[in-house]
Amino acid sequence: MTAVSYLLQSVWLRMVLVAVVAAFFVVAAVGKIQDPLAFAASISHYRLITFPLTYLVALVLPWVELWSAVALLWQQTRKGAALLLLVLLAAFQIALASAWIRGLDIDCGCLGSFDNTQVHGALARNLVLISFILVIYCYPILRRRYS
Amino acid sequence: MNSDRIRAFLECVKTVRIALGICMVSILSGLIHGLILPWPEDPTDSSADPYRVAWQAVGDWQHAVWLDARPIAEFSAGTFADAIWFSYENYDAGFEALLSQWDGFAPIVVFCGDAACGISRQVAERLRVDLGTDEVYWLENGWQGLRMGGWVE
Repeated sequence: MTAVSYLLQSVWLRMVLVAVVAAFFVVAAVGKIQDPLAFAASISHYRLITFPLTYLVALVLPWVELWSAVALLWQQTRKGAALLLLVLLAAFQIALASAWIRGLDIDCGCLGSFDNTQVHGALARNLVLISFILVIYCYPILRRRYS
Repeated sequence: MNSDRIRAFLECVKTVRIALGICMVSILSGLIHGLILPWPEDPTDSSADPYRVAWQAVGDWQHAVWLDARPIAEFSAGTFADAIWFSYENYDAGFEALLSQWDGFAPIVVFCGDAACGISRQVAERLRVDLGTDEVYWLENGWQGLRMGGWVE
């Protein structure tokens, strides 16, 4: 039995990944829901959209994160939530990459007021999250293949 | 074989439907949240801000200490009036550099890239608190304003 198949047979792997991803997005959402105006300012620093669109995005986006994190915890809604989080993270990566390319000196605004991660750090962190969510999304297929 | 494909297709449709359902619930939650909160003023609308320096009035502020809040690459390519580089993300370093050159009386003007950047306004707000003075202003339209006024190329 290889290490990969051993990991995939364990019920803990998916539970740990789900817990980590859900906890991350709950923390990210709570900070932004508490202060949507500050989050709107963070969005405006990317210079991709302007007010009032920044404020509307700042109002809705944290709830997408929160409800996706909650839905990730239930078997029946897990794949849908994982798909939505993948789309969300892909959009974040595009915004972050465009800020990096344009040399914008901004923090990512990813966790609201909880952190001030720079753009390149956020890009790397999102790649880790994407890989976690891909494992969650493809878990049944991976498990069949490696069993 | 066909039944497997149909099952996989139906599974995909179900996944997308759940994702769209979460989106709908989130939009509803966000809109309800927005209704509870008062609608904010446009943070980029600077017309009523007493700390705004109009780009047409740069000539009156040449005695000020200028802070350049643009990315370091843009600052290195050229700045205005011996401005001090001031990154909002490295606030403490910029603050120390400012203290080493500021006499405690001269007004301070912060600028960033253009009307959309907003960082100069944030830096000015924070400096007013940290320096305990009202004499910290920000330049409307930033570097773009300086270019429009012919102060820089």
